[in-house]
Amino acid sequence: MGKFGIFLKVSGDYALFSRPEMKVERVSYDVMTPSAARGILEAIYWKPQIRWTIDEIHVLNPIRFTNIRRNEIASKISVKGASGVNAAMKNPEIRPTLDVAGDRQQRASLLLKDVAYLIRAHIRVLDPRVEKGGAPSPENEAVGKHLDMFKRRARKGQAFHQPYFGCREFPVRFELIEDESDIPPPDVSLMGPKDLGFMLHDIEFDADRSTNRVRSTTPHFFRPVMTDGVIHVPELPFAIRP
Amino acid sequence: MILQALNELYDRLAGDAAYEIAPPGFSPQKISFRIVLEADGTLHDIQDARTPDERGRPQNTVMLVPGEAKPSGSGINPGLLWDNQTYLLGRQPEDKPAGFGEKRFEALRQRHLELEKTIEDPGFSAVCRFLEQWDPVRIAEYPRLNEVGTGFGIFGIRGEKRAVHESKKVQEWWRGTLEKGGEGDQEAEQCLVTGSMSSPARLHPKIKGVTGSQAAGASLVSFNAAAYESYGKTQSFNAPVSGEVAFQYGTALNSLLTGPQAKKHRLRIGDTTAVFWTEKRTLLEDLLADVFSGGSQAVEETQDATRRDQMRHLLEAVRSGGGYVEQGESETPFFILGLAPNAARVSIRFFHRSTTADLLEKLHEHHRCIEMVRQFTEPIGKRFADPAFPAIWQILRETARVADEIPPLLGGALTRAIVEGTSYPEGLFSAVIRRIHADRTINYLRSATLKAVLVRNHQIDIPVMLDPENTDPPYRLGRLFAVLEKTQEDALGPINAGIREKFYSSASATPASVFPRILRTYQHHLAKLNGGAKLNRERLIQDVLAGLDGRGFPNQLSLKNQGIFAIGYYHQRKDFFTKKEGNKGD
Repeated sequence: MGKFGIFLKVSGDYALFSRPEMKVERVSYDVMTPSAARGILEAIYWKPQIRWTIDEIHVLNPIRFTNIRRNEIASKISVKGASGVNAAMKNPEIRPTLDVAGDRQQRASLLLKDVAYLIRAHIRVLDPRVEKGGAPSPENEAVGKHLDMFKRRARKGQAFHQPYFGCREFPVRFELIEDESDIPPPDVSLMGPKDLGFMLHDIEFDADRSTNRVRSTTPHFFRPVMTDGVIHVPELPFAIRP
Repeated sequence: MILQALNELYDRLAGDAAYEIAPPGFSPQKISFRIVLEADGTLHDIQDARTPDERGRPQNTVMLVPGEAKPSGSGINPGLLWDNQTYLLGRQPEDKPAGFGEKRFEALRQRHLELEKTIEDPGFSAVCRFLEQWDPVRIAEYPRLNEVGTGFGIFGIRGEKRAVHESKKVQEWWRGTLEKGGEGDQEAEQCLVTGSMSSPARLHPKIKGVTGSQAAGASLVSFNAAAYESYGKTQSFNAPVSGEVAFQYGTALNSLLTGPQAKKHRLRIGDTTAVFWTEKRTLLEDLLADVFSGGSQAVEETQDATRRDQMRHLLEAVRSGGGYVEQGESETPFFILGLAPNAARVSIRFFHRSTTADLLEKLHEHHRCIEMVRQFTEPIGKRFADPAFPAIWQILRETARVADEIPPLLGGALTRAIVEGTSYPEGLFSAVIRRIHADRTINYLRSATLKAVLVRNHQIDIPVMLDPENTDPPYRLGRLFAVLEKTQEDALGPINAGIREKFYSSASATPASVFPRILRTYQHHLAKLNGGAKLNRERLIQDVLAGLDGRGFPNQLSLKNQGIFAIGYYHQRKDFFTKKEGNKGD
């Protein structure tokens, strides 16, 4: 990774990285998932031609859970149909509505509190010239400018949208770590190896390239082992196309 | 981790006959009637399959039958060689539209006739002949069917002991279809529990026995409304879990909740139903349910002498710390899972994994925090003695007027704090203070709970019993209040509304506005005492007041200090009723 990577320290009061099997009555994973880390970085800086690759997640605070309940709704506004989202986008007269009071559902969550992580990641540039058989641009030229843009934005606290820990309700405080000697050590309770079970790695989208229509979405899971608070994230098991 | 731990537990339970675990593809169902056929398929009789229990009431027989219980809903889903009267005999339920029973009976008949050739079992063929000739009108000829209730029925052949679904051929065929991946033809996906590629389950087993949830069971994994679905996936394909794992975790969890060994694993804490287990069988696992649910009272209630000794031994280890866990048991993984119902779903309140040694260490720390001199060390009449190690529900009980009003999240939070050794919920503290203000009762459990929160969350050092050297103003004020109350009692005898009933709340919250007033009335009470008692009391008051260093009474006490006030009061009050060394107590 070396000079093309970044270290970002992220922390917050609460976090909820829902396990897919328990995302109705939500239960969080013990630690941040790589896809959640990617989401945070993308909130700060992203362009269509780059992809973030998460290399490591350092867990800095002890793993602590708490419960909350929230009122939510059980249905989605339909996309199709006369009063759906598609129709409303064409005709401003149409207002898609949902009866919040009649459709209310109380859902419980088991979430993490007082979290802090260090994300180590690097940028990959998707070079369409390579795809078309041309010569690739020099790596530092292509990656360097994106990396600098990210760093400038992160230093100033800029973001496209507020980065969050799993749910929009749980905002992220972030801080760019520029010197590797400033990397904070993990909490003592995290020392030693810890098996975290299978965890969501990322979701593979298979889209029709001519129509951009998503054909299938496949979740991929990996088995992280946390050693002294550090999780090495393997390469994604599928190819990313621009 | 939850499903993974339960999935691994399945293997342990399946290997232990005491748990009566159903093999894959089979489920235990309540059977209430038996259709007995002749070998050629003509009906011999319909018998009651229930047996009377010790009180003589008929109880359904639990039998292993092929397949799971059917999902609720209006779909037509006939069982194999077992089902209810509507499916097996075409009984028309009164509240259903015409043809309801007929359609279901027809579906069951179709299913069986189609399978007759592939199974090739004489018993199965007899059932087919019966289904061909049965007319639902004949139900009326068997009044017994009205009595047996809603249980399920099975088929038997006259003169054969085994039911038709228990015959070797049927069983072999059924297992064979399971290996082929059942009737589903879902594409293989990565299972999120094992990581291997397999066909995911569309529906997950229902979890029964969570207090407050539906009797038919509720789902741990379910996607029962559109808002819960993502990425265009439906039902449980939102969370790919292989059918085998879904069966195994469901069976293991149901066995802990409702199986024959449930008593050892299941625990109710407020509105939460908790189950716990160790990776292999341990003595600790056997005793823990009693200790959690009964505290130290459990020892007195246990009849069996060996077991009582084991429990006493365990509680002693909890009190003194360490030294209980047998050789090789100390590193056995320990799991506790808290479940609460939420509509048709089960939600997780807490899940904790540690080792048996760690658990005992955490229980010891909890005991150290909550330890308090007891008000009643012996049972008086119907009243139990105060438990040296209170059960979780006993602590929770002190936070509300009636048990139904206990804050729902408190039980889980408290249990989590105990087993993880983290801060107690602050809500526990304020709830206890609120109860004290409301009914002006400061008992053992309340002061012990307040102490536990102060010791662990606020690092305030509070001793187990009266500390005459403690000069912390709230503590002193609590003591002073107890002395003043005692003086009134000694002077006037029992009265309806003493100074505690009248002044406790304001004295503990705003001392400056109350204490000067009650100190004046104290003079009148003191005047009524005689000789030595008067002198002693006067000296005690001086002692307590001296600790206040003439700083006067504080205007207000924070919630935290009100807790210390209550403990000071309790300590002093308890001290009055404790016999002094070499001196007759008062």
